[in-house]
Amino acid sequence: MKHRPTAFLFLILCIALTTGCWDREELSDRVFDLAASTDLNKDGTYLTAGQFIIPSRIEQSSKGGTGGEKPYFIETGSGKSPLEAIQKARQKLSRIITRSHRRNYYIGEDLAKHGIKDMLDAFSRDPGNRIRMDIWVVKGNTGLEALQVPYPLEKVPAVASLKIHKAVGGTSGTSYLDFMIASSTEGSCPTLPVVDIVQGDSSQRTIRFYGRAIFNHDYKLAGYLNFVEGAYRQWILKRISYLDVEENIPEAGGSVGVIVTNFGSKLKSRISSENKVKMEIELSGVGHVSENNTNLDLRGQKNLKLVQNTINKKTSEHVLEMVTKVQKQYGADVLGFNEALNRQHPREWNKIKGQWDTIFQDIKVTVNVKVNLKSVGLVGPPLQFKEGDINK
Amino acid sequence: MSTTQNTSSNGNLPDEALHDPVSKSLEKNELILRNSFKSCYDIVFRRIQIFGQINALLVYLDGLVDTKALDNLLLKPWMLETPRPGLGELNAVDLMLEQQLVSIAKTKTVETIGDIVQSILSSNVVILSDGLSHAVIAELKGFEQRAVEEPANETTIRGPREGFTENINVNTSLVRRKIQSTKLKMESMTVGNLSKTTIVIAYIEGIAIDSIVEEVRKRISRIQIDTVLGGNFIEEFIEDHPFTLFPQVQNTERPDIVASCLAERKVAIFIDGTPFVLIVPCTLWNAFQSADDYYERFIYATIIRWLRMLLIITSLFLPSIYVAITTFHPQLMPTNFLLSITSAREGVPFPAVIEAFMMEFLFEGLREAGIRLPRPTGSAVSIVGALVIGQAAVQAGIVSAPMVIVVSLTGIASLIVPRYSMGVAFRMLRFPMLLFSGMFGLYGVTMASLFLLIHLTNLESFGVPYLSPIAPLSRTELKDVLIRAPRWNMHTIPLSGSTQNHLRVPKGQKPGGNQGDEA
Repeated sequence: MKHRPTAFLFLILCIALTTGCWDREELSDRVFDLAASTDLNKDGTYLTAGQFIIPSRIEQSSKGGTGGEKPYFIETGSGKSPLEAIQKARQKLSRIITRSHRRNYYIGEDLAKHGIKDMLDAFSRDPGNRIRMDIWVVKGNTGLEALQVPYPLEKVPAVASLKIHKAVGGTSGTSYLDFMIASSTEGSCPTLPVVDIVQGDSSQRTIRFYGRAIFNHDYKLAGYLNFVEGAYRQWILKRISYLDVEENIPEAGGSVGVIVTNFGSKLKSRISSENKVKMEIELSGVGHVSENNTNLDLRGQKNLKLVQNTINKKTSEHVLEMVTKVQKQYGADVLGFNEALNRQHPREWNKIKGQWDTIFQDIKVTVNVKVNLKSVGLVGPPLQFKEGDINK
Repeated sequence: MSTTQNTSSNGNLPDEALHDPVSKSLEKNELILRNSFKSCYDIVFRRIQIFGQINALLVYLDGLVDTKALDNLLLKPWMLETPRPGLGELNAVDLMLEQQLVSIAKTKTVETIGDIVQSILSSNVVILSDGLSHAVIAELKGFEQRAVEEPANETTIRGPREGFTENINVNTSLVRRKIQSTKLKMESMTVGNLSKTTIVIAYIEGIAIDSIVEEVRKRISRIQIDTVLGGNFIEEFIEDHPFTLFPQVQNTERPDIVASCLAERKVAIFIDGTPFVLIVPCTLWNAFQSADDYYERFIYATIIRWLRMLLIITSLFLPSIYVAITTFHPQLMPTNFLLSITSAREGVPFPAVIEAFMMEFLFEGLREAGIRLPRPTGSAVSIVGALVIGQAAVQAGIVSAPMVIVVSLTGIASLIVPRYSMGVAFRMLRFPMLLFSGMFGLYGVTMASLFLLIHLTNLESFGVPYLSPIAPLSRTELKDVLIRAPRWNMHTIPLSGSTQNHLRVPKGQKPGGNQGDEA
């Protein structure tokens, strides 16, 4: 009895030391893939690839010394299912694949068209996978190709697409989660961000942020929205932090470019007795004039109002074009109309949600963009103009 | 200063002789004393005749007595001068010796041989005279001692510069000068069969908690030991929990700390021969309080206190968290950080936890060597240590560079604890922490922290819980724990509990328009 606490402690120590539950894994026994890809082979099997970092070369490349040697390598494997493909890749790797830092996953266009249903489960089931991940569709190319494109600014090129997306005003690390949320929400269709591979200025090819890919309910690629269309869509969803808008001002014979920030959006829905839905989209933002190719002196209230109204009107038209394209061409609700209706008219929504796909195509949409020009920059009229040429 | 002499067996004298009264015969007394101090070369027996009439004997230990004062104050007037008129009959020596002839501030009379011997040993001059059945003790201490200097271990920027010395009388006087009140009580005791060390228990009557004072008295009086050579000799006997790394008795070299602790209801224990004064009770939060906190402006003191706490936590957890994250949870690192760490760890032969143990072990070794080695060699050790460990080991690929950074950060952080003995606890605890993190990752660190927390809540110091006033929580006392409240806001004394409500700083003294108004 006297030694009871001691014996207790000893037994606990035995649990720790003898049960073998030491899941310690040294960094030098792990291989980190910062990006991976899956493609569909011609014969219907999956080809999966990973961009694995080579730790010993990272220091060299950061010292900028030897150069030439890339701090990463790409290994592939193919099989009937994604897991089998990974298994084939593992046969070539001396270390354990650790996916916890993988933030980019590329999907080839062929696979996206074929449907990505089969591979989604593996993402959510594996605890080593991070949920803040971006899945990219590679427009007109394969995912493996996207991995192979070098990118000069980043040590490991896979990081590039993520950072580009962030730099142009998008969100990063949410596309996988958004995809899953949209898939499981009644009425809405999932989307993924898109990159494509283009010829850069130099001889190198480079990766480019393209826009947004729209999937249908079977997780098959329905079509693309380009960069500006994608940005409008993000604006409607308030998922954007930066956008350049350039519009022609016919009254002044030139164009004015505006940087928009502080985005806001409001959806107002109305539903009639015949299940006709009307949607009013109100987009707001704060504009900063960054380019003025007209002879207008923007310090004048009248000129500023003119520019503001023209930009708002034209942008409204462009947004409406995009919405119509989504409605008529793709027939997939990726604009959050279903949620707006659900919130604003919950009773009616419950009645019509079964036929949402057909109703969505016939929604009468009006778009009203209200960008408020808050600053005109350092100068009023362009400085190179003579006093007489300026329209005050 | 009240005295409770603790007489026990002594030297060459048979026990029964100790209680013998002083004989009226000078020769007999001298014989007994010479017998007691046989083979003691430093004993001096000086036979004199006071005013050529009274036979007297001065006994003292050479080197412990201020002989210059002895010459001037006793020997010269007795031997070279004539008695003052009005001195009366020289036969009534006993009264006269004490009241009129010994012109020394501190005297007393003793009546047994044992007391005489003890007085001689504690560097007094004993005056025996023919026909006198007691001896007069004159305190003429004059041994070599260190001056009051700035304490090396607890320096402040704006606080007082004086520190305790090895002399208990100097030490108690330093505190008395700071608390000039009759309420400051100092009880003296003697501990140690051989060393006969004087121990003084100091407290402020009416402020100190009676039960603690009584407990201190009780615990000290039951100590049976041969010699007491330092504070720890007492500390180990009176602490509540011997098997813990955390000290439950605070020690300090600074009189101002003792004074402030006394005012905060604590009890101080002075021990002769050491500049360290023990203070009880003591809580964990002492580890974060430095003397300068009270001499600097309160906002700065609070910020610095937080810095200290952060660094102490760092010193306890940093190596274990590094090991846990790199070997169990690499997903917790930012990607770019991971890239740097993996490239630095590439090719390092040992697992991270072994590496951490090696380096921490080496650091402790270097630290210890730095303290123990003679001063001139100390710097050589640090240079070799820095070069060998910091530079060569990394270049040779035996140790990874991040580990060196982690260990040196930990090392610096662990030395920031203002109370050295508290710092030891945190420095040692990071080894078990490391073991747990190497086995279970962050689970292990959490488990070990919980064990530590449970252990800390179990501790108490003289009845005061070790984590108070945080656990158990006492709101009014929090003003000097996580923050250092401004002086005008510290209204009550810490440790007040619910028993009495001591007001320390009356309300309404906050600077500004309403200063002086009753709040």
